[in-house]
Amino acid sequence: MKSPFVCDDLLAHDLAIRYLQGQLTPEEEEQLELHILACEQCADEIRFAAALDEVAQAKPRRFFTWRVAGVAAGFATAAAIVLVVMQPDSPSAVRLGGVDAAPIYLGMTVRSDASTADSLFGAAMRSYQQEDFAAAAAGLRAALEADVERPGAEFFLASSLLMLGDAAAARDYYRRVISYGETPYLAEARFYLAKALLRGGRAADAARELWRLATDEHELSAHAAALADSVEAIATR
Amino acid sequence: MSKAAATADPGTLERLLKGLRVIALKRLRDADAAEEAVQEILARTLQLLHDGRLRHPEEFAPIAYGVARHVLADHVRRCIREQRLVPLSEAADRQASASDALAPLIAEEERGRLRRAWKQLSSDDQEILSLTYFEQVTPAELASKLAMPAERIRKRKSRALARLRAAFFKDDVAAARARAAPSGHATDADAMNEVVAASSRTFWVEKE
Repeated sequence: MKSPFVCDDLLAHDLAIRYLQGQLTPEEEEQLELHILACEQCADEIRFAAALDEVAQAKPRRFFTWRVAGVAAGFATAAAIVLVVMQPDSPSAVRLGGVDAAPIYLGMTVRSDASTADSLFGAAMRSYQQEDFAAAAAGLRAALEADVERPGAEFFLASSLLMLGDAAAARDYYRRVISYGETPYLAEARFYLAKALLRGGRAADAARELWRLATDEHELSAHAAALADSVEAIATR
Repeated sequence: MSKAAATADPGTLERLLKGLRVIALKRLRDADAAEEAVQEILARTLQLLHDGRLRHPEEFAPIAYGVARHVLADHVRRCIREQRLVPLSEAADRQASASDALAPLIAEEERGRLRRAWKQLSSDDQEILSLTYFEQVTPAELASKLAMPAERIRKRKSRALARLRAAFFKDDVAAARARAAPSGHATDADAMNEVVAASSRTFWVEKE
């Protein structure tokens, strides 16, 4: 059974690689997964995307960095395009991905008539604050199954997974948070996605996320710029 | 309620298995766990088929997907619980990207053809693909950096992907045509059982 929307858009919008990278919204992912159970062509396109990712990763990826003049003090500035060859598995880059403390959870007021999802979320976040990240992750997944609001739950699930050392799964969830656009978690999701990318040795990808954040006006921008500078300093050694 | 089972031809079942393997490997990142989950999903879906719960062929994939979500969620929770007993460094070593996790679904011949085709691309085309396909940099964003019109970047990306796809799928086109010939089965359950048995034997792609 061919769904014109998914089949045609799979190629036009690179849905296969975005699916593998966890960049689809939950609704898009559900539509795509349901579709590939009935469409061998689209299932094969996902295999192709995975194979291409593997083949292309075997060669060190180059990336462009660019510096924007006029950014606030503390940023090195120059309007130039620099080609940098980066080794994807640099141990120094991996060390820059270290996270000493989990992103802070400031708490939320739980109503007396809180839903099951909210209660599950609250319980999971108590575990998170006690640094029991395995229990927090399990609880947050249960809360998501119960339809808790996704951006916050997925951000802290990503953070729990990052603290557990599961950088790959953390990246997937941070990307979902980013895909929702302007939420209170967007900037932090970008920053910690960069950390997770560094943990996976993907320094070029991390630098891209950090420069995106650095050019926004946000309290994390200076930190992002400083970390991006460190990443590039390693690359140019 | 009608007890008539919905029809499920072998082609439908093979498509279902392929899709389930993609989803399970992507979500679980572990080949053993994914195979276990796929078998469990098929067993539960087969039970629904036997119970006459499927009234129309169109319901087959949506019901299998519903079963898959529950089974995969259970497996993920189990994996997280197991991580509590494993040193964090070991847990980190086990993790694979979603692309890496799908490696068992890619034949060595496919990988070899794709690798050769990738090497035959110009370095500029490799760069354009790396940025527009993997990094989702838009052609418009890239145009100003490369001093090249966005439309030309789009075309180069499209041509490069077409060449890579043609190399990757070369043998599968012929194989798909051969599979299109129908085969007779006494019941739909028999058809499903045969496909499951055959697929279990061939789930692991033989490496040279």
